[in-house]
Amino acid sequence: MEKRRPLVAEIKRNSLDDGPGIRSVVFFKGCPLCCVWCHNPECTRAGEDLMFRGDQCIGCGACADVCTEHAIAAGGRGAIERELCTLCGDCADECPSGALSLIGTYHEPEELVEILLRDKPFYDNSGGGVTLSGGEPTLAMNYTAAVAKGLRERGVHVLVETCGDFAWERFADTLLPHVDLVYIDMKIESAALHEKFTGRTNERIKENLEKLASTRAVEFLVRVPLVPEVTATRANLEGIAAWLRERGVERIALLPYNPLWPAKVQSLGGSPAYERSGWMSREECDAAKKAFVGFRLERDF
Amino acid sequence: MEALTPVLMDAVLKGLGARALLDRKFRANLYHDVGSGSEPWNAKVVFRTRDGSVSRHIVVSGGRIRSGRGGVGDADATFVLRDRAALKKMLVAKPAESMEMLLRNELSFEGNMSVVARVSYLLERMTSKKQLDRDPRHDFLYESSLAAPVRSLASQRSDAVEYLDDPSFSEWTIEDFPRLGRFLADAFSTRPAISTERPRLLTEHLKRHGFEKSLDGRDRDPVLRQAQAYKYMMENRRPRIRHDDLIAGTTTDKEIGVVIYPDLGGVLLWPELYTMHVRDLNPYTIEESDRRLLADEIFPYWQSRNLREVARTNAGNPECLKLDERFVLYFQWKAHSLSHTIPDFPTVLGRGLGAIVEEAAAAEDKADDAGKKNFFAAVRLCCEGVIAYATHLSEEAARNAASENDPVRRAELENLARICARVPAGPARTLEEAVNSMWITWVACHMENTNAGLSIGRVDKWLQPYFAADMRGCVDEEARRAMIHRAVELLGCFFLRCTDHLPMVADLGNKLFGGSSSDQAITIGGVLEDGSNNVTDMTYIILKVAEMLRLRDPNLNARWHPEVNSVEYLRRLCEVNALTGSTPSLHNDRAVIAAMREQGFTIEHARDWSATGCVEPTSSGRHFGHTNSMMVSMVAPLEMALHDGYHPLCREQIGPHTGAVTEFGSFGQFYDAYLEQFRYVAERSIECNNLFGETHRFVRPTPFLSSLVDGCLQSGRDVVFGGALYNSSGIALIGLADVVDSLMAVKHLVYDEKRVDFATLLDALGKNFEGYETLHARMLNKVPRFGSANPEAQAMAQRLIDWAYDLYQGFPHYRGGHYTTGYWSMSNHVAFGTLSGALPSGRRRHKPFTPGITPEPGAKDTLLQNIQSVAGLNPLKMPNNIAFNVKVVPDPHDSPEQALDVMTAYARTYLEAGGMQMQFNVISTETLRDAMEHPEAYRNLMVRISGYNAYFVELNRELQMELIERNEHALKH
Repeated sequence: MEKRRPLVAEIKRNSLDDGPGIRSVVFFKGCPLCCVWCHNPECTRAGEDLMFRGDQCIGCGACADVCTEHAIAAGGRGAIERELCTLCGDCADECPSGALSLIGTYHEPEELVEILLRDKPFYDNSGGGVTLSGGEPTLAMNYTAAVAKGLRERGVHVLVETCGDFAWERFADTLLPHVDLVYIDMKIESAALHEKFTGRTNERIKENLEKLASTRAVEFLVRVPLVPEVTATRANLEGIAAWLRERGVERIALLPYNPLWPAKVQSLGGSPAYERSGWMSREECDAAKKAFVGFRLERDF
Repeated sequence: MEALTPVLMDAVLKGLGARALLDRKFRANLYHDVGSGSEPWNAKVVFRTRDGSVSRHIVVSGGRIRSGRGGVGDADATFVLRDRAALKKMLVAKPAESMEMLLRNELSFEGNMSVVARVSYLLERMTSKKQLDRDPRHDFLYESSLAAPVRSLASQRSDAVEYLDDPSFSEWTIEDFPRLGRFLADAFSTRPAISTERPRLLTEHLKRHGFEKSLDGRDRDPVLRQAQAYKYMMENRRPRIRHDDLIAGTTTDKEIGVVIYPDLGGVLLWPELYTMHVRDLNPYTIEESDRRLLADEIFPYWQSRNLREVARTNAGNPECLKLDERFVLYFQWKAHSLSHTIPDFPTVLGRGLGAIVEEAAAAEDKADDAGKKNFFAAVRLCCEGVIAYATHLSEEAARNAASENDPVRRAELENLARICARVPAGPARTLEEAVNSMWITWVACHMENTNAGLSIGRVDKWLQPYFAADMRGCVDEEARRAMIHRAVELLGCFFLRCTDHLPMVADLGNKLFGGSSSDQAITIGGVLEDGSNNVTDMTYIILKVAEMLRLRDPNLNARWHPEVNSVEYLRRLCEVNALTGSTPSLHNDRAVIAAMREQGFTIEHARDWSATGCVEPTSSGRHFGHTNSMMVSMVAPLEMALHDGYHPLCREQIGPHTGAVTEFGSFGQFYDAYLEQFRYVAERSIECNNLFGETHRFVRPTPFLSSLVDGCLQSGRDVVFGGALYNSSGIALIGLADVVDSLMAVKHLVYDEKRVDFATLLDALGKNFEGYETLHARMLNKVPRFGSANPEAQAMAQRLIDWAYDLYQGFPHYRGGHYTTGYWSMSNHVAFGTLSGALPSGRRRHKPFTPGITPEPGAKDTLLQNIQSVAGLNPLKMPNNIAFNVKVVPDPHDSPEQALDVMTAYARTYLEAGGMQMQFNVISTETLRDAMEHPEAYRNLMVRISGYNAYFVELNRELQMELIERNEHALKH
């Protein structure tokens, strides 16, 4: 049977970090980019993933006992042979500590809307709503549009968090009419470096950003992830600032580097493609901010 | 080593005898004053191990102590030690440590507890060599500085506010009220001291006039006896006016006095007379003369007359009383207090006590029945006593004025002299008169009733008319501004007056009720009797006072009616909560009113509710609801159900035999066994409450309080005889989340999924999950829990709540009315937790239960699910209210507005969804940990436990850890 898409990796409730007010954030699976620092590696692949969190494992070996493919060595502890794994999820069901989990659930759009409506009173009382994120929520444009439409019809504020790499016409026709706010990333100004670190060039992202800036079809916020030595270089940040200034963008958000993601990559059986284990220093943050003098920074840090 | 324990025992008991023989001062402890001279104390006391392998006794008579082997017939009291090790520990332990032993069930008692206390006192006196010095470890408590002043955000006039343009007074901080600043510093730098004024006067009077019988041998009418003693106390106590205060009168003769009620639990302090000033938690100072007074004259008089012992004698030491003394199943408050109610202040303020004197005198003339005649006479005498006290205060104020050099202060004192000559005898006209009338009446209430949970009520509603009258009298803007400043200062003085006394807490109580003060609840906001808005100027003035002073007591409770009160007001409540850390607590007016309607209150009387003690609703001034009559562990019956009625920590068969769980074929059978054990515990607890309640009628009727509870003057009966318009007793059921989670675990793991059989589960519990890590992990992670919004767990919680409601409502009540159930725990979730083994929920042995109705903190952030789960429970089945704790932490990067928006959204959503009560702790775990390490820097760090506020640095370690381990929710954007 063909698997239905997109899958949802997680619905994070009570989020205060992804837009105004109290929000639920839907993390869809699948992304056109593969940034070396990706904070949500469990959302990169469109298909299911088996995640193993070593810090939660108590070493009981129940997973190994239940695995019919012998993909887990006796004793468990995350010794998973990913090639043998069929993602049946039996080990995750059996795991008593929750260390193993199968990431990726499909919901019909209407069902997803219903789930998200659980917290509507919190959205209403806080000026919050739902944030569609990922992965990349525009990958399944029709689906995302259906969810956004369903939410809007019930009075829920909808925010889309995108990498910006989508087909504008399709976006404008299907999703845009049902969205209140767009958060769009501007990661790297140079096309070549963008391709080097994210796997794709940034022409389409820039085009889309330009369209947002010129048409003002929807309220949007440009967000710049700060990744030391990748995006948080003086040249890149000044390049982004100049590019944005030319297009009349005055308001941005800087997202300081969060070093917790490599553990997630490992939990999926991969190894991080980028090394940086610490948080950014005060000086690094201040240096980044200096590049954006004259901009209004959302949420100071 | 333990083989030598009997030898040690013999040596100690022989030593007691020798000391009594040789040391005249020590021998004096074996006599007591009976008014007409001193009499020798006669008692027989047994010490034995539970298995009976060691058994000794002492006989005290004629000023001598003889000891011997084996038991003795008709012993007055027996110390039962779990084993030889426990016996040895007791012989060398300090009083505080023997309390610890009591809680660990290494030690239990049979018979007269006051005799136990007196013998413990003798043992302590004999083994301690010298006077202990004050413990310097406590000095930080009185010498450290307080947190810096905070500033509130400006706000708009809303609701029924008439005179305030910025109801949060954003331009004012404590620094604008130097008088309050000084009093506040005093409140935190003064050591509490034992005051013997009340017990001395009471005992003196009763010795002179007789307790059971008058001197001419006739039975005394208890109501009249109490009134005569009360009048004597009020007429003879010292009138004091605190230096510089705007309010006259003090609860005791000390700056911060610990009030002793020897007729109730006061005698429990006996063993600690020489050690209380050095104990780890809440040390009290005491004068040597007060020690002698208590040990020689006061405690011996009450040794067999206090409520507990009279009840024991009358009922033949019933099982229900013995269970109370094990602390494992329930804790009966009636042995210590019957106070959890709200006096009718509007009558005092509006008509004055003089009007009650006249009314009572007229009724006394007309009454045909002697009982009623006595009651009316009693009311009259009490009110006369209070008026006499106010007159003495007036004279004292005049005396102080005459010797005062500062003209400003002299004018204040002259004004106080005029005020006290007028109120509370007559009606108040100004805010100043009203506040003084209220305070003097409040002092008077505490001269009669224990300062444990007696609550003040709707202070904003009652004082607003006087404030408005004062404002109408102002001629210009400047005068109005000065009047508003004066109103804040007056209310601040009132709050600080309320800190002039503390309830007496024996060291055992430090474990059970850590850090609790009197819990004088003040309630603000909500709706009036006609349903209109009661959020007024005075509501906001009280909020400002709470914000600036950050006091644990008075315990501020705010009502918010979703349809009548504004969101701006709710936001201000959240702001004060954020600035103070833990107060006020928030109540849903709609839900509480509905719950009270269900209990038979008229709509007007339901709307006139105030919180009592912690959170419990009382219809103000007409309802004797003893809302904290008892605290009951829901977990103990679960443990008993698991062991066929046997309690593992008590090592005794306590409940009925409900069958071996290993034989149960279905979850239903186990559930039924649980209910049967629960019913057994409930029946005993009700028996005990009724027994104590009936004993109050003999030992301590409360005619003054009765004069301030509507219905008594009409019915001619004291409140303890059911004279109030409405009667009930409130229960706090503790451990709901732990029980629901445990039942869910048994259902899922033993029956639905058959992951484990019952024998294995019992073994895992017995071993505290050691060797059962997989099962333990499964319990914690794979069983649906209460608070996760899982429908099955939610239904289980509601099913239990409904069942408990029906069970308690079905019990007969000694005053008429009903037993009402509620889910809050003070700090007993920690105390009961230490007395419980591991549970199927995955909770480990001795760990605290969750506070009140709060769900177990899980691994994930489940704040919204918790809010939805608790709000989803039916308030009609929880009429004694709930306490739902939420710990939030503002992000320092965010503006206060943003954090406040989120906090307000949580509160509003919860309350609109039907949640009854919610209390935020706005504090980070990191700060709490730092406060544990550096208590000197956190003197007034206030936290909310379960219904009441406490200063974190005064809590026992277990409670501190419980607060730290609560889930923390970041309030950030």
